[in-house]
Amino acid sequence: MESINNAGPGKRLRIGIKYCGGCNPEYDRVAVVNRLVEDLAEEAEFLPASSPDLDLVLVVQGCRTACADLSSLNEAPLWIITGREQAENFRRAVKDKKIFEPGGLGGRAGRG
Amino acid sequence: MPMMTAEQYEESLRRLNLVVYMFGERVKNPVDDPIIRPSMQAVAKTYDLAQRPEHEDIMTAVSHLTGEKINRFTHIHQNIDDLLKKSKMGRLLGRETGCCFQRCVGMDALNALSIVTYDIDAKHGTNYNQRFLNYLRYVQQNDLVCDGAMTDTKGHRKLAPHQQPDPDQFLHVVEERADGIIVRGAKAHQTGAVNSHEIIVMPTIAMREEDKDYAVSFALPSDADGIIYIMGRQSCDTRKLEGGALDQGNLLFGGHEALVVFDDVFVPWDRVFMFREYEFAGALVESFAAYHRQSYACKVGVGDVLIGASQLAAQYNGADQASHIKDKIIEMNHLNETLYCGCIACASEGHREPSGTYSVNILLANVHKQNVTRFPYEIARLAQDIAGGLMVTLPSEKDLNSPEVGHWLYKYFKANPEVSTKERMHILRLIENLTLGTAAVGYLTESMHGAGSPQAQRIMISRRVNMPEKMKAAKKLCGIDQ
Repeated sequence: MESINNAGPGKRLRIGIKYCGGCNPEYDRVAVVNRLVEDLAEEAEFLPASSPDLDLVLVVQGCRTACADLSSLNEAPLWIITGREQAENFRRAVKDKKIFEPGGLGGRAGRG
Repeated sequence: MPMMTAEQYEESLRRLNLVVYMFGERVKNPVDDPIIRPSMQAVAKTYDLAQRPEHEDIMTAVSHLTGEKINRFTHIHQNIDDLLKKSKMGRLLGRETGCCFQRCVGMDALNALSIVTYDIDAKHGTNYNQRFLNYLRYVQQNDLVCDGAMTDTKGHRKLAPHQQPDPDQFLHVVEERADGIIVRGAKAHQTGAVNSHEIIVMPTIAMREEDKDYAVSFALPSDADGIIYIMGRQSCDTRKLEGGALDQGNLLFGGHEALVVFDDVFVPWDRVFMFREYEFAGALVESFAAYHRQSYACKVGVGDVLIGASQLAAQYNGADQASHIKDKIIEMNHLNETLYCGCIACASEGHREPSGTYSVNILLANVHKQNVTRFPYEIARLAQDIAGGLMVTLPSEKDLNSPEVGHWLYKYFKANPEVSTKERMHILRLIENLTLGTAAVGYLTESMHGAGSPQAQRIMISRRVNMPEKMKAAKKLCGIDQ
């Protein structure tokens, strides 16, 4: 498998999952993540955001208020989604191995 | 980690020795009683969601005492974000349970006491705040449910506590001892009392020196000697005894209230947070009431459920495309989101008290609660309008299952061909539950009187608005000399 992360060839991405609190989400966040886990099983393993040595953290916000507390996360890059469409963009970026390319992660994430 | 799971919470309740009465009989096992159990399950949801990654951001906090992760219901608000998350947590849990989940009142009592014990100490040189913080640490470390008990039975409403023909109409100190105090009285309408590990007592009104024996605040284990719980009835409560999976409406969750009697109960000094400092009784009431009026964010979540049920009822009836139905749904959402605006606003406009605790904006919290005394009733009215009369004339589940008449019900109560008769009955029963069944206690009458009746908010609004500035603004624009 071609390397798509910083950890070396043949290794799956280690992706942390960080949810917002889900007070009034505009979509089913857990269902979307479950779908990503299923679809990206070959490319990535999904872990709690507190896990060590993550390649990136997928921040799953329930709406565009995007109020998830990111202060406790480590230094891994963030990819933030606030809806199904953005989840699909993320899925495609991982599949196409463009997650760390300019306009990929860097264009969609920040550390608040 | 000081957080219990839902299962551990249930087991912890089984270890309590509560004295509970219902229908004239002692309830030996409240946890498994079919009438009480749905309310326990609603509280358990506050533990369950705190364990879930998809909700922990709202449901948990970091203790300012220990730095440990704790359930937000035991947290003292440290900033505006904490206040906002409290409002959001209310909506989340209201929507998840469709009822009162009972745990907010203890959180509000803890936060109010964190402020007022500090202020009493500043004036009197007492050590209430340290006592309180020791107690708070115990609550956080054990992830306890606290009942916040404020409302006295109040007797003759024209008379102050010390003037009452029966002095026990307000809870009061009857004896002062070297090791503590003896208290007597009762607290009414205690939501979730039987699902609580602790009970935190506060005075119910502002007081003068003549009432100083009534100016008392303390915390006790809920099964302390001399505490007796007498369960309140709820409309349609005995449907929970009938079995089945339809007529209850909400199959999983509910609330409960009880009259809590303190029959000469001993309170050790280390659990006493106010003792005859009558001039702080009003401040404690005001602080607690403001937090608790914010807590009615939960009704937004219950409103979400009722609006969803109404839309489904419209679809199941085949009426969802009618323009007047669409407009009613819009109106329900408008009212519900207006409620949400209030609970978010009073949080975002909060402020820091000298103790370090963040308080909500008291004016906006009262405005929010005033809206809560009205809008759920209108939302419920619209839900009943959309649902149709069948929600109150529907035969029972047993009739539906009857070999003699069930087929008639399936035949004649079929509406939209894409929806089963039974699904239609389920949604109508849920609307019935929320608007005039057991859940209407929480969604309607509790919205009216809980955290203070409407007039209490109007008094606070009149006290808190800045009328001089409003008049000054008017004068300036029309040319009246200042």
